[in-house]
Amino acid sequence: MDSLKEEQLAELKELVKARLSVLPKDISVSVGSSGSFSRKELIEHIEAGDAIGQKFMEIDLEFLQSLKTGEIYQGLNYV
Amino acid sequence: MSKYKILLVTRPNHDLTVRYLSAWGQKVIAEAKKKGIKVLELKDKRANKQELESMIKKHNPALIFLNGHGDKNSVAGQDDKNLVSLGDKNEEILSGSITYALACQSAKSLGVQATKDNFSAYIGYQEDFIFYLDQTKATRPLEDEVAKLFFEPSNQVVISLLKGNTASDANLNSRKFFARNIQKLLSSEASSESGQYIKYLWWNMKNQVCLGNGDYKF
Repeated sequence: MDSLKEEQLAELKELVKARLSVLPKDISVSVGSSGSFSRKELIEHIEAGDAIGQKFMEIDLEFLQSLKTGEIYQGLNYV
Repeated sequence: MSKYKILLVTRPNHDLTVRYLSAWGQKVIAEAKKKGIKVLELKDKRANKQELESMIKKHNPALIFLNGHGDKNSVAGQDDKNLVSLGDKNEEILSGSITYALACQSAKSLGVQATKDNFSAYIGYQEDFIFYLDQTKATRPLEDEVAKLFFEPSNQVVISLLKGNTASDANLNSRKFFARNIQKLLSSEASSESGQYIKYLWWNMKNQVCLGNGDYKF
């Protein structure tokens, strides 16, 4: 994610927030010892750009890249 | 030292995440008991280092299922106190057994060190194990259909081992289960949030590894 320009980072942030906004309000995500986060809390972390927010953005970016490169489809076919 | 056909399970219960792990771990325990396999449980406060070391020393279980928080060097028990950790230098207690750690990151270093003699197998995650849950089901995790998407595949590791598969195949079968759930979400008239679930099913699937001697069977 370090390689992203400021503008790209801002775009990614908006994209991740938009994708999270489709989650029903009762759905939370548990990330080990970091805790559990509701949709609202996750969006707040992303907006704040803190460690949790960064982590979610990194995972989102990795997932989007795996879609782009086809890694996910290869992985699904492999197993 | 010969190992016995015993399943040892740790089930801390001090926060929402480990309560889910503990609850879904019951499914595996029920499966083992159905097969007549002896199960030793370290629940709640008993999920601590002293009890674990003592149980392993006394019973020599061939299969150890650790549920809890983790990091690259350790897996924790009740109240996040270390159960097995490189810092405490007690990873050798896993020697000769197949260990499945449903915990974050422990396959990064702990699993590598615990299997370096190649007399053990260790299945775990190189990054965080992440799951979605439905807060309205937080007091009844086994009724949580969202969490089920994540825990049925992870439980498959132990269930597959109980069926006599090798550690390597048990890992593969579990990863296949993650893949099936992803494909189901991709192909069905998916809800708008499915993409979010797929992302972390994929994340867990790709970070789940089998280290050490993958030919070991329970």
